[in-house]
Amino acid sequence: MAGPLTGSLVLDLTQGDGAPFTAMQLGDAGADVIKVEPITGDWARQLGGPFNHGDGPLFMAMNRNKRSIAVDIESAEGRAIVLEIAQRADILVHSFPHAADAARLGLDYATLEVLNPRLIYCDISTVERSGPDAELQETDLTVQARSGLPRFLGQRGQPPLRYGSNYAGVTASLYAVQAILAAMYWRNKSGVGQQIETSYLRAMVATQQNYLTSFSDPDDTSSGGFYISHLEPPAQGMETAGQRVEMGFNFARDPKAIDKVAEWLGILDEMHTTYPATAERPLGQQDNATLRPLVARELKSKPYAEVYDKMMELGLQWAPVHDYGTLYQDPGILEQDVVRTVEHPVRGTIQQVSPAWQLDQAPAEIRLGPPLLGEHTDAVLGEIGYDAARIASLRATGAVA
Amino acid sequence: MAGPLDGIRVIDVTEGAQGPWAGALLADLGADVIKVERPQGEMMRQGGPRKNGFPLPHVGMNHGKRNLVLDVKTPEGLETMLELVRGADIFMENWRRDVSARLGLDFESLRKINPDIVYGSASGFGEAGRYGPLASTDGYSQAMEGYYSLNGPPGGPGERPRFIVIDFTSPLTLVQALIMGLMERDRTGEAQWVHCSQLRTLHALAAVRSEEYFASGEVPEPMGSASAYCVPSQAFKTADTYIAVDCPNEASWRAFCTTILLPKLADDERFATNALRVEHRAELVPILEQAMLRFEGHRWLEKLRAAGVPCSRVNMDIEDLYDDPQVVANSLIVTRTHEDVGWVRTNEVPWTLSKTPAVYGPLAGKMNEHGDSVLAEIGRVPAGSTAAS
Repeated sequence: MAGPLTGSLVLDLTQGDGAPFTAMQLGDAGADVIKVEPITGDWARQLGGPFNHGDGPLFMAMNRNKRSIAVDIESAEGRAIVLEIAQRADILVHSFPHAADAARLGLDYATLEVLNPRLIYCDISTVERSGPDAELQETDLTVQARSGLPRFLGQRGQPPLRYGSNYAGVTASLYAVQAILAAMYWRNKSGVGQQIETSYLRAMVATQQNYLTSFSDPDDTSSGGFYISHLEPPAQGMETAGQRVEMGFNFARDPKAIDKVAEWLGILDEMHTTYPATAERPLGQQDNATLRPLVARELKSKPYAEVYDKMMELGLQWAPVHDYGTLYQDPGILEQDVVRTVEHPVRGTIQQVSPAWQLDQAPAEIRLGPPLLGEHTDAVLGEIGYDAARIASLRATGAVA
Repeated sequence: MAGPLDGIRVIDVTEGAQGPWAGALLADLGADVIKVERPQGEMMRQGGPRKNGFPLPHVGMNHGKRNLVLDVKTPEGLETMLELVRGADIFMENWRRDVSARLGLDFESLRKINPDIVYGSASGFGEAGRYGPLASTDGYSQAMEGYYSLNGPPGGPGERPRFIVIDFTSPLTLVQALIMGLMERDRTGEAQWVHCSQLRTLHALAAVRSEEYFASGEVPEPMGSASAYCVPSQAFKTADTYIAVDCPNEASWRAFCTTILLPKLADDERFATNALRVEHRAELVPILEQAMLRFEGHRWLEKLRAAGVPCSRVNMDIEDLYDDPQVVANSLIVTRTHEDVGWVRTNEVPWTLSKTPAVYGPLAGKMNEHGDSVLAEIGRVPAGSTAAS
C-alpha cells in the first residue's frame, strides 16, 4: 500500500513560512516532491536560533518528504533546469513574492500550459495578486495582523498577541492542497490540468466565515455573546495539584454527572445555599457560570491523577491543558501515532509530527527527512538527463549547488 | 463549467462545525452534498446569533447543500438512508464513538451495500484510544494538544485563542482525506475509510513549535506577539498604535535598520544573522522598541513599506477586515441573500480554479428544505411527518 499520489511528480518552488507545507502534504500522500531552492536556500532555513542544528524549526516542520535541488533561477541555465522539471511535473506550487515574477521567469501558467497541458499549477500568495497592496512584502505575521486575528487573543488595552504558530500560512496550505487534489481528481477524468490560486489572506477570511455570517444582523445585538468572546478575559484553564485542566459541564454521559462533580468537590451544599434555585432542580449546563469559580477553588488542591480518574469515569467534557513537555509524556496522546521518526543526514534519527489525515487503505509515510540544501541536486539533474560533466560545469558557474 | 467534483454525491450527517464546513467545501468544489439532519435539528441549529429565526453560523457553514430530514432510528428512516448511501460516493460522519455501529451506519455496514463507498470519520481525539470517547470542541482540542501554551503574554500560563483555531482547520484535512479516498477508490475499485481528528490536525498545523521542542529540548512558552525563531518579528508600539513588523531575511533586516535611522545596527556583529538576533534578543528588542516610538503607526507603515519591510496594522475588529484594501479589491467578503434568511455576509470561496470554477452555493435555510426533491430522486414518496421546519 502506498499513498494516493504515488507516481506523481511535484515541482515545489515555494519558500518561507507557510506555502512549503502544501508540497509537504503532497509528499506525505506519496508524491515525489522536488524542492527547487535558491543557491542560498529557502529563507525559512535561517529562521531559528542557537537551539538549531542547522536548519530552523519552520523549515524542519514543512519540508520532509522532499528532495532539494539548489538552482539559481535567475540564470538561463537554472531556468532551463526548472523548465525541464516543470514539463515532467504533475503539480507545480509556487509562492513568488511578486505577481510578475512567474512571467519574468517564464514560469507563468500561460507558458507552462502550452508545454504541459496536464500540469496543475498552484500559486499561493500572501495577500492576493491584485489590489493596492498586492506588491507589498507580507508574511504570516503581517497577514495575521491584517486579518484581525489578534482580537482572539489577550485583552483590549494590553499589547497585541499573535497565534503561537504560523497559522495563516499553514491554513492557506491546507486549503491549497484541497484544490490541488480536486484538480487532480478532475484531471484523472479529463486529462487536463489547470491553474489554482489562493492566499494567506483569502484563507484567513474563509476561516473566519462564521464570524462574517454572525455579524449579519445589525438589529440583533442581544444574541451574539459567543461571538464577542474576544472582549472577555482569556481562557487559561483551571489549576489542579499537578496539571491545569479545562472542564465543562455538558456532554455528560451520566445526567447526574454534574451533581457528582459538585459532591466530589464538596460544594453541593454551598451551591444550594448560595444559589437556592439549584437546590430545586438537577444541575445543568446553565449552571456553568455559577459552578466554575467554586470548582476552580476546590480543584487547586486535588491531585491531578484523582481529577483524571474522576473525569474519565464521568465522561464529562474535559481535557488536560498540556504544554509541549507534558503533551509528549501523555500516554493518551502518544498512543495516537502523533510523532514518527525518520533519518536525517546530519542529525541522525529525528522526530517529525505525523500527517493529520489517515487513509486506512493508503496510509501516509514519512520516507525522507527535511533535505539539506542541494542534497539531491546531482540525483535530480541525472534523472532529467544531465551527465556528470555538465553538472560539474553548472556547479562551477554557480547555476546549481 | 462545473466544479472539479461535479458528479460526486456526498451524504453528510455531520453536526457542529468540523464536519459541516468540510461538506460545504466539497459543495464549493462541485459535489452534490445532501445534508441529512435528525428531526430535532443538528447542534448548530441551536447556537449563535439569529436572523429572521435562522442561526447565522449554520446558514453559512452549510451553504451549497441540499437538506433532508430523516430519523434513522426508525426502520423507514434507516431504509431511506441506506437507499441514499447506495447511490452515493462519500458518506461523512462525526458522531461520537459507537454511534455509527449502533445505528447500523458504520463503515463495514455501508460497504456491504455500497462496495466502493468512501467513508469519512471526523473526531475530536481520535476514534481509538483512551481520549477517544471524550466530547471535544475547539477549546478542548486546543487544551489537549498544548496549543494554549503557545499563546499569551510572556511569562504567563498560556491562553486559548478564542474559538477558531481548530473548528475550521480540521475540516480542511477531512476534505483532503475524502478526495484522496475518491482517487484511491477509482484506482482500486474498493471502499475506503478515511479519518481526521482535531487533535492530529492541530498538532500538524503547529508542527513548527514541536520542531523547536525536538531541537532544543526546551518547552515552548507564550511569547506575546514575538517569535521563538525570528527577530525582529512582533508588534511594536509606535507613537500611537501598535504595528506588526517582520524581518524574515537579511535584506528586510537591513532595510528596517536604515528606515528606523539606526543603520549601524545592521553592521553590529551581535545582530549579524537571524540566529544571533534570536540569541541576543534581550539586548536588541529594547533598542528597536525605543526607536519605534518616534513616529505614528501610519507613518511607519508608509516608510517601512517603501523600504520593502513586511509590516501591517494590527486590526482588532472584524470591521477592519471588511475595510481591508485587499479584501475589498479582491471581493473576499461577499453579501449573499436567502429568501427566508435575508442578507448574510460570507467569505468568498477559498481558492480559484481556472477550468472548473468553485462556486459558493445557496445559503442554508429551513430543515428539510430539499427533502421532497431528494426523496423523489430515489423514488420515494415524501412522508408528511418529515417536513419539519
